[in-house]
Amino acid sequence: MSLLLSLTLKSLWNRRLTALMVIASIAVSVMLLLGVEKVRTGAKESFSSTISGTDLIVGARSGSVQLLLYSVFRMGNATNNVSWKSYQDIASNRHVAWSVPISLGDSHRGYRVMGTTTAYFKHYQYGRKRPLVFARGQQFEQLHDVVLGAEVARALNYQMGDKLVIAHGIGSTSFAKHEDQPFTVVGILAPTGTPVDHTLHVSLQAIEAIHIDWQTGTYIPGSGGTTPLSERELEPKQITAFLLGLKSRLATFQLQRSISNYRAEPLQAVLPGVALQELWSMVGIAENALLIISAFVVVSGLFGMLTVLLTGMNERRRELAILRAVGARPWQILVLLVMETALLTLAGLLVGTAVLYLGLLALLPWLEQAYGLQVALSLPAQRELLLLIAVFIAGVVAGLIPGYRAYRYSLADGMTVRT
Amino acid sequence: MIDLQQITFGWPDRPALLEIPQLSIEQGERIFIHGPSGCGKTTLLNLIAGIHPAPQGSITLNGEQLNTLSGSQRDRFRADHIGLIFQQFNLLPYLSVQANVELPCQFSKIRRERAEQRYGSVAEAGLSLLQELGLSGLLQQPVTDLSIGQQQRVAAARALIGSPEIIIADEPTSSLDSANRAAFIELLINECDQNGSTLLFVSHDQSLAQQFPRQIDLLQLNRAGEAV
Ligand SMILES: Nc1ncnc2c1ncn2[C@@H]1O[C@H](COP(=O)(O)OP(=O)(O)OP(=O)(O)O)[C@@H](O)[C@H]1O
Ligand SMILES: [Mg+2]
Repeated sequence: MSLLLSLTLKSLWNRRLTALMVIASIAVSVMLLLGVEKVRTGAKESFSSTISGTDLIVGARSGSVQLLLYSVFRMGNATNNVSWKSYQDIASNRHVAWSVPISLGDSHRGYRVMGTTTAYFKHYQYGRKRPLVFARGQQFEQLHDVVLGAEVARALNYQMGDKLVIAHGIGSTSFAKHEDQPFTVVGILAPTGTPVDHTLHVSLQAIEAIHIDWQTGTYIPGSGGTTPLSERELEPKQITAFLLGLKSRLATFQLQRSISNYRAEPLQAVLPGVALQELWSMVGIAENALLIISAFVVVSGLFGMLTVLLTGMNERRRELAILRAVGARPWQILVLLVMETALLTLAGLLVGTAVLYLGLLALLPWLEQAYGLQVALSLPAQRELLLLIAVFIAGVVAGLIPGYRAYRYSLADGMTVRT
Repeated sequence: MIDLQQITFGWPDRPALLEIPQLSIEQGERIFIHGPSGCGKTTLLNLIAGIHPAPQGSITLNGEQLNTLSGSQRDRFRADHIGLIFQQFNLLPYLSVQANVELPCQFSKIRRERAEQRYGSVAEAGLSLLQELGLSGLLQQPVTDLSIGQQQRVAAARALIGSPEIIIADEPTSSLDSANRAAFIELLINECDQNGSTLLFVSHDQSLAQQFPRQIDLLQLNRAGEAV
C-alpha cells in the first residue's frame, strides 16, 4: 500500500499544475460550504442571543412572535398597550426580581425611539449574558436626555451633547416632530450587534412630556394645559411592553400562566428563548436554500475534478500500462486512481478549511461590528465535520469512475498507445 | 522453456493473423524474430507474454499452460517470470532511474527474492545492473532527462532485475543509431547469459541477426494465408 501511495504522490507531483487547480477548485467549494454553514450557525447564534437574561416578555395579547418582534426587534407595532397599573401590579409580584417597562411609537430619522427606565441599562442583556456598556457618557438623567445605540450615533454622526428632535410616529419622513422639545445626547452605547444599536433611548417621562399637547394623534398646541413641565407628574398611563427578571426561574411558568389569566386586561407573557426559536424556524427556509446552493457548488467542484481526471486518463494509459507490465494488478491500478482522488479531495478539504479559518480570523472583528454576527472560531462542529466527511466520500466515489475505466483497460490497450 | 502448439489468433472481423503449428524454445536460448512490418511480430510477443489471451491452441511457459490461467493469474505469472522491453515509452516519467529499475521487485515477490539472493538487496541489484549497462552516474536522474538510448538501457535493467526466466524485447533499438544499437544488444545478451534467461528479440533490422544463434522468420513460421 505504501508503494501505491508513493507512486500516487509522485505521479501527482509530476502533474502538479493540474493537481493544484483541482485542489483549488475543491478548496473554494469547500470554503463556500463551510462558510455558509459557519455564517448560518453564527447568524442563528447571534439571532437567538439578541436578548438574554430576561425571563419573560409581557405585552398585550397577540402572538408570541409578534410580541417578540416589536418589543425586542423593534419591528412592526403593538396592536394594544399595557396599562401602567397592570405593569405596576405585575412588577410588584413577589417572584419578580426586576422589571423594565418599554414604550415605543416614536422615531428619529428612521430609528425607533424607546422610552424606558434606567433599569434597562442595568438589566438588559444579550449574547452570553453580556450587559449593555456605555462607549461614551452615561444613562439619561434629565427629562430631555437621550442615549443612542451605537449604529444610530455612527450612521447619523452624532456626538455627545448634540441636540436632536424626535418625530411623532414611525417612518423617516414623519413631518410631525416634537420640535418644541429637543433632546441632548448624554450617552452612546457600545455596539452589541442587536437591535439595541438601532435604538434611541429616553425616559418614560420624556415620552409623556413630548405627547402632552397631542390629543388622539393630532398636535393641538396648548391642549395639554399650560402647567410647566417641571411641575407635572408625567406618569405614563400606558406602556408597550415590559421585561421581567425573576428571582427563581422555577417560577417562570407559574407567573406566565397567571399573567395570561390576568383579569384587568388581556395580556400575554412569552419566554424569549421559545419565541426566538419560533421566529427562527420561520427564517430557516432561506437558510436551507443557502446550504443547498453551496452543496451544489461542492458537487460542481467534484465534477470539475472528474472532468480533469478523465481527460488526463488518455494521456496516462501508457503510464498505467507500464505499471501493469511490470506487475501491477488491475485492482492496484484501481486503488492508485481512487487514492489519487482521495488525496486531491483531502488536500482540497484541508486547504479550504484552513483558508476559511484564516479568513474568518481576519474578518471576525469586522463581521461582529458591522453585522453583529458572532461566528465562533471553534473547531469544526459535528455537523461541519459531517459535511466535510460527506465531501470526502463523494470525492472517493468520484475517483471510482476513472479508476473503473483504468481497471477495464486491458494491458494491450495501453500498449497500443504510441504517444 | 517456451512451447507453442496449434496457435491461431485473429483480430475481430479480420482473417486469422497468426497460425503457428508448433514453436519450441529452450530455456536460455537467444531468439531473433523478424519479418516485415505488420506481419504480427508484436502480436505474437503479446500472446507469449499473456497480454492477449490465445483463443486456440496452447502456450506453455516453464511448464505452466498460460491459456488455462485466469486473467489475474496471467498477470501474476508475467510479473514473476517475464521482463518486458517495449519499442519506446518504457519508463514512468515521475520516477528516478533507480526507482524505475526496482519497480518489478516491488510488485513481484519472486523477483524481489531473486534479486536479494543474488545481490543482497534490491537496491544493490539495481545498482549493479545499471553499472553494467553504463548508467551508474545517472541513478537519481529523472528519466525524462535521459537520451533515448539511455532510457532503453534503463528499460533493459528493469526487465532484467530479479532474473526473470524470459526477456521479451519488442524492437527496443529502433530509435538508436547503429553504434548504440550494437552496444545495447551486446549488453542485453550478456545479461541474459549471466541470468540464464531466454531472450526473445524482435526487430526488422536483419543486421542484428548475427548476434543471435537462432533466428525465426515469422513469415515462414506463420501459416495464416493473410499475413501481409
Ligand atoms: N488492437 C488491434 N486491433 C486490430 N488489429 C490490430 C490491433 N493491433 C494490431 N492489429 C493488426 O494486426 C496486424 C499485426 O500487427 P503487429 O503489431 O503484430 O505487427 P508487427 O509485426 O509488430 O509490425 P511492426 O513491425 O510494424 O511493429 C496488423 O495488420 C495490425 O493492423
Ligand atoms: Mg510491432
